[in-house]
Amino acid sequence: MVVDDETTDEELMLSLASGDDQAFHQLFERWKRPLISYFFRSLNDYHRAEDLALMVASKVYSARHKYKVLSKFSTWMFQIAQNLLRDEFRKMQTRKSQMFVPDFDYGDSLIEDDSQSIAEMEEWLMYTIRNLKQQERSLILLVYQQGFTPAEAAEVLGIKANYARVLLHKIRTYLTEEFKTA
Amino acid sequence: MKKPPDFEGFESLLKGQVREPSPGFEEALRNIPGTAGVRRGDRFTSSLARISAIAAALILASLIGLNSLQVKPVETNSMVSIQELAEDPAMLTLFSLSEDLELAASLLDEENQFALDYFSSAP
Repeated sequence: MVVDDETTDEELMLSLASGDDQAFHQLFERWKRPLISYFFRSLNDYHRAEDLALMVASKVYSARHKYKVLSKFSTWMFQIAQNLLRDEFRKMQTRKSQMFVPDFDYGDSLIEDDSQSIAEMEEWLMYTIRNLKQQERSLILLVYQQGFTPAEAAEVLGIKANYARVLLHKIRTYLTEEFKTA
Repeated sequence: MKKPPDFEGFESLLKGQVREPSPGFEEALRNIPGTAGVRRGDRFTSSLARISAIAAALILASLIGLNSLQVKPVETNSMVSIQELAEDPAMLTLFSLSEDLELAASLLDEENQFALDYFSSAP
């Protein structure tokens, strides 16, 4: 199969299922950073985020023959990621340990590029996200970080689309209030 | 703690690109197609399943074999009441015969010979 940027994730997955391992590498060249980013924002632990991203890749490869194009590949893959994250949170609840490792590189994407300011904002972001419930945190990451629609994010989380919209509204209200607070 | 100025700032902060994955991550990712399906855990699980299936088959075969070899219990005489026996002519005959035999045995018993002689000589 000739792989280019136009090839969809679903086509790559079907190609992988038919025995083309190169499609696997192409697929995760696209998705490794979003996955690590998602896990990192959920756990505040970069090394664990890499481990979990690898576990997702491994599970996707193992399940390549079972894959059916019923929904978007990204929705299916993030459902796997979400299951791993749930397990991880269960383990963390017993360990009761969280790490803070600011490891992001924003370049010109932020209004301020002063590294001290970014580190402070990073700390604020971690503090704010940590106050959200696990489901709320996953929802906001899927929508605002990964670019999922509320309906797609709801599918990943196993909740109704309308409930996801209500939850998003609630989170936005909470964050707006947080911005206003001095 | 410094905050982003608005919600859009928050979004861009959320989307901030993670640093490049570590070389260890890249290597592990490259090796996934070669190592998937040969993990120790999978092998152990499949072996365990195979052993369990064999053990279950052996136990089932043993049970079937034992069942076919099992000796049927011998039918025993049921208990019969005295009244039922008295009404059964065959049983009465049997008892009569039994009494006759006992009488014959006592007559033939040498130990009883003295008593027999005594009664036979009595007037």
